[in-house]
Order: sequence, then structure tokens, then C-alpha cells
Amino acid sequence: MIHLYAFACGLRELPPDAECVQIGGMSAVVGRIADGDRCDSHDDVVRHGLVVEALVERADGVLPARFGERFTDIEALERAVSARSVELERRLRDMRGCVELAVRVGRTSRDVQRDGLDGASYLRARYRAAAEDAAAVSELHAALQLRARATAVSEQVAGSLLHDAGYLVGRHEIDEFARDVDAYASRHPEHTVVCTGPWAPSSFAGAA
Amino acid sequence: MSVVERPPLEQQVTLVELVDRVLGKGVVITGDITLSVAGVDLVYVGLRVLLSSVSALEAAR
Amino acid sequence: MIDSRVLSAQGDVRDLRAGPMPRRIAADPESVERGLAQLVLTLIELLRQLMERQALHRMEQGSLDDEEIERLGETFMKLADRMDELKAEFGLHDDDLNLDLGPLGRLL
Repeated sequence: MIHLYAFACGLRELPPDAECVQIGGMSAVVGRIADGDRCDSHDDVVRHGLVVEALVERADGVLPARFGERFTDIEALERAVSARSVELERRLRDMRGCVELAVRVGRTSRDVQRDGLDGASYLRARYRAAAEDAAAVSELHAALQLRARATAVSEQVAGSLLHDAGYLVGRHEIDEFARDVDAYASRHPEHTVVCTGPWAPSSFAGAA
Repeated sequence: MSVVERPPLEQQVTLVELVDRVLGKGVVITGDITLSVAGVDLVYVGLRVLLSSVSALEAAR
Repeated sequence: MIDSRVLSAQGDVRDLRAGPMPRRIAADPESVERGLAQLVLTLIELLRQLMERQALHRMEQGSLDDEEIERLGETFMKLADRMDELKAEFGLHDDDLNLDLGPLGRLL
């Protein structure tokens, strides 16, 4: 069975334990797994991630595949990819020279002081806190969006998580981006802020 | 009883982010991925679509 | 195993990523009870958040009168107090109340 890690262009070197299948203008980076083997343990998931991330340093552009893309053999892979090659090649081209930076923002203390408040004051205080958080996050996203070629914002933010987004940037833009995040963090000590990267641009790969 | 070794927090954060990205992001070609969660087969992509629909419904109200 | 990719961090990052991080695993009856409390309180917290979001949304729209705002606020305050009591009773903190569902993400 063939396990697909990612598509690449301008591939200079393969990571260990990976093979390359040329399909049209793209290099499909794959691994082989024994037919009966489920290969979906936590270790397999991590290994998939490490192979994809290793590709970022070894190719001009990387279009990561979601974990679980499997094909009975190379021919099956070629058939599936050829059917969508125009779209896939376009997306791969868009990824050239780009990496993704992930930003998450959360509120550290989740409640307002309740002592001695009546119901209306409490609810209005919660409203104000929520509005302030939303405004701050909006300000951060606007600033980071200016530095990014594309953004992918998660709709599924709940609880203490206020913002969860990926930003597509060129490699030379990483330091300035991180400084913007630092600057925001110092202005908002009431927020937990984490920026990680550079990652392969998984949030911008889409579903074919 | 067991105590799990804790790697440095930064590595934990990175690892968690990595797993999230591998399972939740990336191009999907076959459209139908079966993953085993706690030994139970689930159609993973289908479930994700279901969860998104619920939150989209909520947001639309 | 994997190099850190943290470019910037402020605050307790475990708040944002508490789920799959390794925890002490034990098998005594006290921790089974604690596990159940964790489940129940997480679900209550989820409902509380959903309800509060609804209430704040309606406040924004202006579709709540003063009496409703007062009543809702009182209710949420009482619920928050009760949650604090229950959390204290079971030795749980805010970042314990977040069930990791693996590929389905986290509940809260």
C-alpha cells in the first residue's frame, strides 16, 4: 500500500524512508506500508508530520496531504492525482517559497470579579470583557494579515481560546512577523499568546 | 501506576501542533479517510464536516 | 525527537494546549471519581459557555429587557459560584476541564 505524505516541486533531496513518484509537474512523496497494517498509531501520525516538515527544507514548494491518503499501488495514486492535476499543480505553485506560522490567543483569567455585583452588572461586565477581547484579536489579525500572503482562521474557537489562525508568509518574513506577535503580547498581558512555526503550509492545502 | 516522562513544554507544544496539523489539515484527495480512534473505525473526514456544520448552524442563528 | 518551533510565547501555554499532554496516570478509586467529576463539570462548563454566548449575543442585538438581563446575570453568577465549589471539592482547575477527543479536537 502507498501512503501519501505530500506533493513537492523543486525537490532537491528526499527525507529518509520516503520515495518520490513523478506525476505531471509534481513530485508525489510517498511511503510504503504493508497491506494488512493499519499504521495509524500516534507514532505513525508524528512520523507523517516529521516527513512533511523535513520536505520544507528540501524543496521549493510543499503541498502537504492529510494523514490517511492511501492507495493500493502507484497506479491507483497516479489515477487519482491525474484526475485533479490542474487544481493540485496550481495549489503547489502557490506554496512555492512559503511557510505557515500558527498563532493562538487565549484569555488567561476567564471570569470577572463577582463579589457584590448584581446580575445585570455582572452580565454587562462579561459583555464588555468579551467585546474587548474581540477588538484586541481583531487588531492583531489585521496587523498580521498585512504581513501574510494568505490567512486561514479557525471558526471553532470556544472557551478560553479567542483566536486560532494560520498565516502564509515567505521565509524572510518570519522574524518581523514574530516581532509583531511579541508586540501584541506585551500590550495584552491578560492574553496567552503562542506563535509557532515555520510549518509546511497545511492550512492552505484545501480539499480536492 | 505510572508517571509519564515530560519533555520540555516547548517541545510538547510543538508536538501537539504537529499532530493537529497532520490530522486536521492538508490536501484531501480520496475524500474519505478511515481512521481508527481508540480501536473504533471512524470516517474521519465525514465527522469533521458534521462538526463544522453544527457550528455553522449556530453561527447562522 | 522534535525541535521546538515556538517563535513567541506569553502566558501559560497549557491553557491553549492542555489536551494530549502527558498526565500522571493512576488507578485508585479516588481518581476514578475525579475522572467522572471532570467529565460532568466539563460538560456543564460547555453548556454554560453556549448559554452565555447566546445571552451576550441577544444583549448585543438589544433583544433583552432590563429584568431579563438581571435574571440571566444572577443565574450565571450562581452557576459560576457553584462551579468553583465543585472544582475545589474535586481538586480540579480550569485547564483540567477540557476533554481531548483526539482527531475531533477539544471539547472546549
